Amino acid sequence: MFRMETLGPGNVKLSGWLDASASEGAREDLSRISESTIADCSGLEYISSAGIAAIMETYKRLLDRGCTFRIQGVNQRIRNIFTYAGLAGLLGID
Amino acid sequence: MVERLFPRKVERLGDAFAFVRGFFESNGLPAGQTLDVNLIMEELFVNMVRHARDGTHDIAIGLDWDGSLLTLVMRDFDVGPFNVTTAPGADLQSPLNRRTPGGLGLHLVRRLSDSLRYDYTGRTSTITVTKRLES
Repeated sequence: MFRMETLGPGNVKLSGWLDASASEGAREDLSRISESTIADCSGLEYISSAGIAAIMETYKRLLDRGCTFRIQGVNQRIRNIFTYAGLAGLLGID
Repeated sequence: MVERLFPRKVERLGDAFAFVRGFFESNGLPAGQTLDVNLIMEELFVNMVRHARDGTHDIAIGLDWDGSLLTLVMRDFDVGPFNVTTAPGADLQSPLNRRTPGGLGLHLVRRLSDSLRYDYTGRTSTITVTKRLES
């Protein structure tokens, strides 16, 4: 189950499983973000291409508004997935 | 090989994840590596569902472990061919706003697998993936 929690202005926490069955709900949650945001993903346990698409949709939407969207705290395996997808640098995942 | 049938519905992916988790537990495999196997399974499952929208049969998922190599076999019955080994991968080179959408799932499958094989016989698509697990 995927969850998005607002921690404060410009800060959200994403956790749980972001798979194809959760991506539609995730898109709705992420669509509420309207300012430059850092997403704490330390609780994100799983992500697939459907989840990455939802995150990249948010990244592009915010970029079009002159805002940023960065990700922090991902575990090593999820970091690898973003790296293989060629997106780690864009999302500020070091 | 342990094999189960799963309804071709993306919203039922959780059942397939539970099958993978159960296989890892019963074979004493490292739980940390289920993410890669689940991801390969999900991307192939979703591809099967989306590329044969008129398909009516359940999708078979099989797992085998020989002590060093995990084998995942996925079979889709009474469908047209969709060769995942030759389908285009993701465009990772163009600037983000110019990238062609799609293909990321298969790109990740190829990146995470040690081998990927496709067979189409008697209107059945069979995808066989092997993955060496870290000890």
